Amino acid sequence: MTTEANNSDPRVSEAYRSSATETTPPELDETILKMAASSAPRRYGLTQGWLRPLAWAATIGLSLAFILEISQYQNVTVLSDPIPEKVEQRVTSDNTAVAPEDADVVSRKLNKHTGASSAAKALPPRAEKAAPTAMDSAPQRQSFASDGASLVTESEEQVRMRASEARLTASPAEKKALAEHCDDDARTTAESWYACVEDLKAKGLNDAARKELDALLIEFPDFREPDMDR
Amino acid sequence: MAANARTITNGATTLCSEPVLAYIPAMVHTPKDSALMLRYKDGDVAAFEILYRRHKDAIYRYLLRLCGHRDAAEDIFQEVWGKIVNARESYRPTAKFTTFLYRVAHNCFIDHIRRNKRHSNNTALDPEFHSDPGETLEISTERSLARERLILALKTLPEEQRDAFLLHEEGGLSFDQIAIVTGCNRETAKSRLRYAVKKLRRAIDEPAEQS
Repeated sequence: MTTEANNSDPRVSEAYRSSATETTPPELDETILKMAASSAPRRYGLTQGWLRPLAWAATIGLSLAFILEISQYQNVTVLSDPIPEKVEQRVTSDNTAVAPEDADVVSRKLNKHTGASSAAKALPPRAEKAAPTAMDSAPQRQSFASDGASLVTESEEQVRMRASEARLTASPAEKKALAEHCDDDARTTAESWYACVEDLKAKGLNDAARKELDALLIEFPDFREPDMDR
Repeated sequence: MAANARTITNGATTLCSEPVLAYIPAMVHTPKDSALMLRYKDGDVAAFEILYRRHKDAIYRYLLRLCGHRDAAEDIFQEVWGKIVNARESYRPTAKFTTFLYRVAHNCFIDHIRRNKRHSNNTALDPEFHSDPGETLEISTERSLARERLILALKTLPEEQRDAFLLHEEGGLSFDQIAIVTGCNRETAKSRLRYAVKKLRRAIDEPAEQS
């Protein structure tokens, strides 16, 4: 059997190896190594390897924090006022008893200060349309409830929320402009203020009574009208 | 140095006159060629550098002896490594890396011949001969002459025989591997190598026989 060793000659190999002394020129080595380095796929280093997951984690974390913050803000806004148990149905129609100019004033003031409020934005368009009348007095609202025209359902919670927002953002001058029919002594407590409102109603000054009641609800958000509990 | 590289890159060969066992510790600590190539595939440039430095001189000499022209050898050498770099994505360690490397080199050389039909083989190469310090002047001169005669005889060999001899000596390839690289069967590869060695031996011994 012929092996590979039989085909080699040590003397020939030795002579060849001693003559094989050529090496590659250094510039050729440099060229090829540069080419290999530039062609190699880019590897992420130790720090670079963490960059992408870190960016993802930061994005997710910030998003979650933002969502939590928003949801907590909404909860605080809603829970800052007592949630009424009763939900009333309001009716708005073309022959509404609400004075248009009064509704516009309240609407402008509310929109001015609560335009960016997420709660107001969350309302459906029809409810937003009804927002200017949200400060209406309870008797008027109840009187409209029996009307069979276009029905808009609005919760007491939303009314109080808007009142609370208006109270937080209204300047003292604006608050005074809202209520100017009862004197300061009457406004010291909610009960005396409401008694003043009742007097105004009894005198037939319904607009003035409504304004005073709005101001009363703004100033004393926890106050509950006796009629509302019925 | 060439012998060391040859023995390390092909530890299985029994053709070397040096004791192979002396190089086994170096083999244990050096990563395999295929592993280095796979590391380079993953973007490890340092692995390629190890691989390149391990084989560059042998490949360069193989091409230099085949071409007989330094500039052409450098061009082909650059082309060979360019192909190795480009082939990293498709590389699979199914065969020995040395076989793959020399096959690429052989094909590049064949392409070079086809491109330059007038394949000139008459450019003189002047390898630097280094004599051993302990040698007498007579022995040194005799060795130097033997090397010179060997190189001249190598140039006169038919291309296939020269190719087989260089693949065996520089790449440390076996008959089977030479057959794979050159695209012939094992017996043909063996025959080519046997004839090449026989002619070279005759060239070295010729003056002695004459005297």
